Amino acid sequence: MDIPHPTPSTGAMTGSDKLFIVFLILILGLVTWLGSMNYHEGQKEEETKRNGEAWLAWFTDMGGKRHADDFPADHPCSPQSKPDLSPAHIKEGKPITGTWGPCLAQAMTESSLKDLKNPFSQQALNLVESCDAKNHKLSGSLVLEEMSPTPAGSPVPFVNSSLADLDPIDHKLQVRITVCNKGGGPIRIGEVEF
Amino acid sequence: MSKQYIKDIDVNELLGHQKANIAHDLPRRKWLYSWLLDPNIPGNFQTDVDKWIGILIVLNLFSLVFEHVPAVYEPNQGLFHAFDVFSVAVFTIEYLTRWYLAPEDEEFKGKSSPRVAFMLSPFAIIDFLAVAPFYFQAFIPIDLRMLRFLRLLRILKLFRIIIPAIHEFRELNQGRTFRQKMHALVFPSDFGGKLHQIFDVFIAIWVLLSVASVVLESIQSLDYILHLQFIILDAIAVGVFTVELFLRIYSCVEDPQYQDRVAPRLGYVKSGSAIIDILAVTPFFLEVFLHHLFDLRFLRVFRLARLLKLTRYNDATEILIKVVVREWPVMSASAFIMMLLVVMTASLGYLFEHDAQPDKFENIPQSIYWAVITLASVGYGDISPVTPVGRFMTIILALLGIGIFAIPAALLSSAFSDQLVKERDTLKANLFSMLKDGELDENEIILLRNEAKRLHLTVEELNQLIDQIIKEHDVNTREIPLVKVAEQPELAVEHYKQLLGEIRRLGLLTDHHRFDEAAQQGYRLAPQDLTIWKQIQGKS
Repeated sequence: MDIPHPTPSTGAMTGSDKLFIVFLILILGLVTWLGSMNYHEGQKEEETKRNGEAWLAWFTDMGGKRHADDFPADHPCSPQSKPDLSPAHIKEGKPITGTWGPCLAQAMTESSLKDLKNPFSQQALNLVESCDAKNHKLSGSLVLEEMSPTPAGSPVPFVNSSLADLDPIDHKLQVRITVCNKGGGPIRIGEVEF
Repeated sequence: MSKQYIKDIDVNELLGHQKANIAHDLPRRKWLYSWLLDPNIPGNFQTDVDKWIGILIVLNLFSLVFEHVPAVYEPNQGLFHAFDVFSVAVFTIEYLTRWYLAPEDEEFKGKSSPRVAFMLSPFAIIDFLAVAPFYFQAFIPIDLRMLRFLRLLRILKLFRIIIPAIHEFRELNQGRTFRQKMHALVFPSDFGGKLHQIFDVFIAIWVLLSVASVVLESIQSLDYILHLQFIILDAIAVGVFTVELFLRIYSCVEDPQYQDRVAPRLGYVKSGSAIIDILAVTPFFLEVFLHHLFDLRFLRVFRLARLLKLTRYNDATEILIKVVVREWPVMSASAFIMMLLVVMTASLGYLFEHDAQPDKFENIPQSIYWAVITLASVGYGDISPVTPVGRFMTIILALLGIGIFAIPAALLSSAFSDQLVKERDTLKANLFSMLKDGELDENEIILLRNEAKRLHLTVEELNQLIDQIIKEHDVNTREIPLVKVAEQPELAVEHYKQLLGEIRRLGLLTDHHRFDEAAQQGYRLAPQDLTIWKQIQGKS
């Protein structure tokens, strides 16, 4: 119960005044602590964006090179080899040249992208099919989607599908790069021709 | 306490529109000081100079913050530089003006060398430091970081506004408790002074900043580059609003409104303004603690509730709430009829259209959307009746809807204007009771000023109101006992003028020759009195 305290004529601080100031300092400390937590989470999100931007740069770079005549035909990302996607070949479980799988493996092991980490889990950067704001485990993950144009007259110009290992890359692809924020929701990084 | 006679009230002065009374023939320096910097002359430009310099300082602070965001700074380097040059030019002109006018300033007037005394004063040193690095960099290479840090010193210029306000606040609150002082700082009272106004402006700036950041955050491209800045801004805003909230809760017990309650703080926490304050900070704490459990993005929208904090500084909201509460019985009846009409329309729509359009009028709840859109005359057209009976029914119901849906709007608008008239009548009644003695004391003048501002009365309206009261007051003055009239010289003069007027009127109406005869007959009027009569009539 709050009872107004009598007014001392000196204007000096009472015990409850001092207690209130201490309480106010604690509250400010709490806000600062929570603010700094938010800031650190925000920094992780920024790092996630930098990961996405690194992938965008790689796609832009590789997309420009791989269609050139002098690009090595035996490179896993080369568009020159037609993929053999017969059921028997797929069953063997070996990497199929001319598909996204070997190209991705090359990017993850031999390019500058190999050192990228998911700042939220501190593990190697992981690829997921899509971001989901209800799934916090996806924070910091990367989503690579192929944008396929829809027939003329369709209400949406593109249909997006996650890039799978067996997707052929013997043609020019329109790729969308997305990363998942701290809540698992998507942050669009960019679109590039690969 | 000084009193003002009703006929002497200057409405312009009362509403703060007064013109400075500065003689034209003053020496040039004195004249300039009086117009620009003298804090003791009401109506001069001193407040405006302080206000605009204050705004420029705050803008400088923002510019400095944004210079650290490469995505904003790099494409707009030219603009940032131009703004810096402009700021330095303004601050330099201000510094030189203050230096030139220092001999007129009360603070330095008595010194042997007023301008040197000015240059060595703390405020002048701050002013100098605010501009000096800009000029030094032309001669000495200064590190960009150091230069930015030195520019941060410009914030210190705000002390020129804050320190006098703190001194005034201290004087007003001498001998008062800490809690009373906090109350004076955060709640409007006679003890708040300018510091309370600065506090209000500070909170209002943070409200606008944080709401702007919530709105801008929703623009993906902006959030992408300024995400961390938005986080910092939100944390600072929450810090400011939390301190404000607890200061209000702690000191509310000093408010007469809550003093008589059993649990005054609980009473305050349950008030509308406190609930808004709590809503303004809650999303921040909930989001940090609970974001692992739920998707709490919807809470971010609640940060926009901070805008409601501004209603504290706007009386129109209070009037609107009063109106809604007063008209609630009629409005609820109208809402009931609206609801009835919506359900009936939806049911009829379902009855006549379900067979023809089963996908659009699938059931009655789904038809409610169509009913509301039709009755409210919105008419999106995504669902429309196709059967002849359905169309006929729609014509009737749409016409009915125009009338029924317009009732609450009409009710509100007429009640709102009624309330304004009522409040003006109350002001008139108050003014009339204040003027029973023909005078206004200082408190009554403050009350009148505040009420006139609250009701947004113009100078003409207030003049009209005062004229009306003077007329009514003149009629009633006759009823004031002569002893009371005699106590107040201004009223006594007015009364004397009134009596003289009566005598002159009598002189105009009567036959002077017969009047003189009658006066002299039987010594009815003493010779001195007759002489005075003739003097008044202008015949002596």
